[in-house]
Amino acid sequence: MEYAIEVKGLRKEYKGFNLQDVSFRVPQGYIMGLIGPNGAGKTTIIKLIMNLLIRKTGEIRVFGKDNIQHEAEIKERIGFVYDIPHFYEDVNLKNLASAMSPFYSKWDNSFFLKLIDEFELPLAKKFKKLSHGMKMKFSLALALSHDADLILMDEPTAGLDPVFRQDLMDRLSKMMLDEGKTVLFSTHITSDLERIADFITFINDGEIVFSSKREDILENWGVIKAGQDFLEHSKVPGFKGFRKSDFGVEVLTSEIKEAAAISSSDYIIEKANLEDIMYFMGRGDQNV
Amino acid sequence: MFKYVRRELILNKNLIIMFLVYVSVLGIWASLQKIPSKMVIMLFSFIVPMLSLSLQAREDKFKAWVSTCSLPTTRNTLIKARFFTIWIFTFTALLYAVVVGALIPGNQAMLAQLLTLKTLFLCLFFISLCLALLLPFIIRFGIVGIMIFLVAAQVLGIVFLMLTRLTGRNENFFRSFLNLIIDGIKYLFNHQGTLLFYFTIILAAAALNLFSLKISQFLLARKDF
Amino acid sequence: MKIIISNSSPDPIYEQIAIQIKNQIISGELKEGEALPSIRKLAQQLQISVITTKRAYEELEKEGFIDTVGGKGCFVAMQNKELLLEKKKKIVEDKLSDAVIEAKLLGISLDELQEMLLLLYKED
Repeated sequence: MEYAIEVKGLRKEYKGFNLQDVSFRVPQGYIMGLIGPNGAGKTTIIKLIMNLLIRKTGEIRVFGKDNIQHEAEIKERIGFVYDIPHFYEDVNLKNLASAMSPFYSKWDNSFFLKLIDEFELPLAKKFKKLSHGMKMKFSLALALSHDADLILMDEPTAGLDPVFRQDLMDRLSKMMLDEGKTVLFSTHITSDLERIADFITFINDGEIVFSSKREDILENWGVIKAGQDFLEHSKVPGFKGFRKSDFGVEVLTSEIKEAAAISSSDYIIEKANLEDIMYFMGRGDQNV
Repeated sequence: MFKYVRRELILNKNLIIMFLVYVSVLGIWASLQKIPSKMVIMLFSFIVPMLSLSLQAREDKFKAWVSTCSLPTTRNTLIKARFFTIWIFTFTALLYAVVVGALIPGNQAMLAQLLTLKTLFLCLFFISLCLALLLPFIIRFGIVGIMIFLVAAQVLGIVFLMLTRLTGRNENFFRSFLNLIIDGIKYLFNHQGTLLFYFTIILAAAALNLFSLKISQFLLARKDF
Repeated sequence: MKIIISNSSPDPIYEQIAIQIKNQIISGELKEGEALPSIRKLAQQLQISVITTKRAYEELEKEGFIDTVGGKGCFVAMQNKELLLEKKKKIVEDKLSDAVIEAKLLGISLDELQEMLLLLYKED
């Protein structure tokens, strides 16, 4: 198994926020979603991989190489899309692309122009005149036009319409036909990941909660819905969080099969989706 | 390196054009007012680094560092490229100023007087000095760096003043310091232009640049974006 | 080859895929030796993750319905006529087994169960 990204023991203190001992691996040829509530550390991790933030301790290897020692070599193969694209605002798109393209040896200008066309981007317009959606599309066009082996995206779909989000998922899906390509993208819009992500890494408060196949997660996690007189939640196997209302209680468990064996008064178990997991583990233990 | 310079040119086209116009206007004004050559050199040595610093400031203003540092390159190379670009622009501006100056009727004489090896070398030296002082501040603190530099200079002035008070001496430390600098500059201008002199000046300029480069690389390597 | 995925089905997606392919092999719609789309091609066409299709194919291979030829892809395995019949029977057997377990739990007798079976069979 080859890994596009390997993160080990990563630590960083940044803006009053702590990344603690973060470790996970992104297998090559797959899509990994990095999920977590706002401020959990997703952007920090991506910036650390790109060496935009200087890591305190830990190891980051991309394509098997240290991301600082082989920085230029690695970045040649990475297409990046950040949550807020930062380019020179008073320059038009054509010139922005022209300034960047010589840095990539595999830049494909005809492909880039085709994307610009498909995204309906006005090449002659200055960057500041674009809507947020168009700025992101431009960012994406740049990232996809140099045959990158790794696409790294930070909240690429936040604030974008469902049509674009679906289009993005289509493109990522098409990319995956090539088993040499890998995608890592962070999002808090988990519905984007429900079908297409192969792996999910969940980070909360600077710590990795889990990192595994999406299939395994969805198979093993569930939400128990019961009346308030349900078993004391802490006795539920695989208890991960709960939410109480005047009318009942909802409990998140990571061991749905064991939980199903509880012989108790009526309750129902439903499969948890990624949003449930994020919600319950993020702030679930509060009364409505 | 070429792709770095080209990139700067494309992204800062308007700024560079404006700057060239400004330099030519300044040059014309200076020659019309018959400003002494030494003043012109000092003026130029201060203005030209301003272009370089403006380039840096623009990157800072648009927070484009995030995209720039994501390109297939290292921070050290980016700084090296920046220096390279700055000097290319500097030489271009110098050449441009000379050409414009030469085009003004009646200016040729003054220009001939100006364009000695000595003035050229001194110019380069002073430009290097300015860059060496300001660039690290800008890289570390962004455009705000200029402010910080000025504030630091002020603080230094105050410290000198306090030293004067404390030691109860009659001499003003700060004034002595200023006089030292002015004397130094006068010396440089008036000294006979021996080969050793030129060599020392250029070596000093090169050393300043290297120092500035290393400091800037050191500062940028530790910065979080 | 026809595959339809239901989002509201309780069965995980990989299982839905596996069952549909299995049925098409059993019914003869997919011929022996026929090439199946690659894992990645299937994932892209169905807009699902690669690991999901991989798992579906793994299940099918485990049950002997398909073969993976290294470097060439996946093909419908040669089905032994008797084995095929066995497999068809097994599917129904599994379902009947479920029904029996359920019946015992709920206290339904064998006679009642046989009556139900008769009625149901006659329905179509």
